[in-house]
Amino acid sequence: MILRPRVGDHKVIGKYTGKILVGVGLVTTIPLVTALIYGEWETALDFGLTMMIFLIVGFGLQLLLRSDEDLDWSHALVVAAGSWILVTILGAIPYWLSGHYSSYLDCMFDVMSGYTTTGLYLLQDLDHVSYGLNMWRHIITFAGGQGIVVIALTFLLRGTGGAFKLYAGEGKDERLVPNVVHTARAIWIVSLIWLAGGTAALGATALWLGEPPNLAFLDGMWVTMGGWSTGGFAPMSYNTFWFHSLAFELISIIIFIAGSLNFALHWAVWTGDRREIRRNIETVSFATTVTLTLILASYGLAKAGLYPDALNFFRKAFYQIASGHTTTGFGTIYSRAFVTQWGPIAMVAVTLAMAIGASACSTAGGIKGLRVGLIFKAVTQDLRRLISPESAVVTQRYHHIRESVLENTVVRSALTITVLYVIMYGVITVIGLLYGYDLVPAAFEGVSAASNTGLSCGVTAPSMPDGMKAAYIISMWFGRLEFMSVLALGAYAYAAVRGR
Amino acid sequence: MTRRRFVTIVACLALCGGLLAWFVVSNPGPQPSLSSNPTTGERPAVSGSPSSTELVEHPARWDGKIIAFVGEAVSCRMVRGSYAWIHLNDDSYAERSVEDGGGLTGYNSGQAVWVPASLTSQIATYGGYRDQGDVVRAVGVFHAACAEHGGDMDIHAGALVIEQPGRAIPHPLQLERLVWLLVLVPVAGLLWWLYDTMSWRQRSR
Repeated sequence: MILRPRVGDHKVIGKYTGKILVGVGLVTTIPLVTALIYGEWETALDFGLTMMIFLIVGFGLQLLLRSDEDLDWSHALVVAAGSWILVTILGAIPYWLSGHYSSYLDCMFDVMSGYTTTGLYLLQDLDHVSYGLNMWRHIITFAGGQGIVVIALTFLLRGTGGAFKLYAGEGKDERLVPNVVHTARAIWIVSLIWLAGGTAALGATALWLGEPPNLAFLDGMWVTMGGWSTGGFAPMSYNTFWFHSLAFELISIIIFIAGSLNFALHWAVWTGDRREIRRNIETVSFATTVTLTLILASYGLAKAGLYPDALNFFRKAFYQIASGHTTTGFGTIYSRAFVTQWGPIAMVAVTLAMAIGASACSTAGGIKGLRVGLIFKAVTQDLRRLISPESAVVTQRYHHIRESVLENTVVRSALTITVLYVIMYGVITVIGLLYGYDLVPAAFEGVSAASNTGLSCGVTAPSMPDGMKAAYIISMWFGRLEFMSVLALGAYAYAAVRGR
Repeated sequence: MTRRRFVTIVACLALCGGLLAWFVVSNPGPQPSLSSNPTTGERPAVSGSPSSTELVEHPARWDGKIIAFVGEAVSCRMVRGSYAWIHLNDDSYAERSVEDGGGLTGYNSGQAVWVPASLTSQIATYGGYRDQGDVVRAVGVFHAACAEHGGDMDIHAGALVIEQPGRAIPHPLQLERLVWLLVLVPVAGLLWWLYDTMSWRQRSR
């Protein structure tokens, strides 16, 4: 029998959702201040309105649904998934007011893409938007990379037992330090240090490359935000191709690879354990799969005969593969060039890289290197069992922050999520096929959305059917929250309607 | 995982890409020159005026040919030594951007142009939120994957002509939105105050 949720359940969910909305609402201060600094009064008004609406809904929910209860696991999962929907609806307001979108659905697409650090966008005439609006695009992807629940945990919630559940509900489960609120703050410390360093490095490079100082600073900061969060938004429609610079590309690669690494790995290195970088199963898995997909992409590009110069060949191939594999989505080629120049083999290589993705508990999406590594270890263990005497006890070990024995429950968990990802990739590709796109572009774009990457081969466009836009929004949401929270929200809604 | 194995994997990453790249090393074909023929004094013929969409969709068709490309100069020029990068957008927003009341017609599209820096000084306005940029006609060689610039698709231009000067875009304050803001600020403030008061009472109980 399915039990209908109590009024108390609704109250505690509403209260915490309200807190998250207030937290995100306060983030609009940053684009608001940016717009004021640059005298973009119209944009400043839009962000003022947005902030007020966030605060009214956030405080309104907390006043209407007052509760002293702490969160249990199901509440936390529902809050994590539900708050993403509300934040997407409200966060679309400044986009809609800007006049750069054909529909509110398109605005929501871009917000979901930002928060999930995907990087696909439907904004039209990007090269004429205000600094304030461009700041909003990048700040939501930067904040989304750390997780919007992390924002609320950092500023608004105390270290209740439910706080960890809320944090885990957003697809993160590593505690860098024992207290979850301190963990959230540690994530912000690591991120802000990278933001400062990246802004300085990329800003100085952009200045050296000939941009005016003001623009160099903003572009440096925005590309760092897009890179560290593995979001892939860039200030111009040309993406990182705008800069035409090997130095800029190398720095951006360092930033987005760093962003794709597990926060626990960052913390281990931060606290002095540098050996963790080469011992961790995720970094080993990442290096291996990058190599394999790079080889495949290189074969495809060699067949296409596009880049006659060896350095250029490697530069283009590695950048797109690394960007895809870290689920960043920066590109140094035109979107359509994947189809018109790279060809199907190289596209399949990038698709595989995007599908695998980067590290768990990072800003990245995809199946994740940890799961791929664990499944590989499990297969190796089974093979060793087959060739060992029946009486032999075959154990498999792996290193992820600490040395652990591979247990069936761990493998099962990794396999479950991997299977769900593969199913989602399949479904989103079939949806593309049903709308009349060819197999390779449909798979490329679908996997890009579902793995929160954001590389595009031209399928995503304002003229794309609304059904596909909605399907991509849902897949981005599922992919970012790694299914469980969204499934819990669905189960909660079902129980509310059909439960007794 | 031993250190040696890790180093091997990382080395493979660099080596495999490099080795495969060598398979395709060959000399680029002769490039047409933009300068006049020294014997006849004739300027080389322009093959056409393709749009950026045409260039991206059929790069091989135009690769190495001299083309004329017209578009709005956006954001800024980036001077590198005696040359500079400019970006010309030939989308519908080149005529009238969304900020200037133009209709929504899709994404921006354009081409990167590598041009002697001295020529770019004639561009007075670059497009952005505040300005509609100068519409510029560039004549030069199109490269589907430029060997000189890391494989980028670009145009190496030898001539620039301003076809249409840019202009400032007015952004009048929308009074209706200002009124809405003035209504919503006290409502949000009241709810915040109520929430704070109730939380304080709850804590002191």
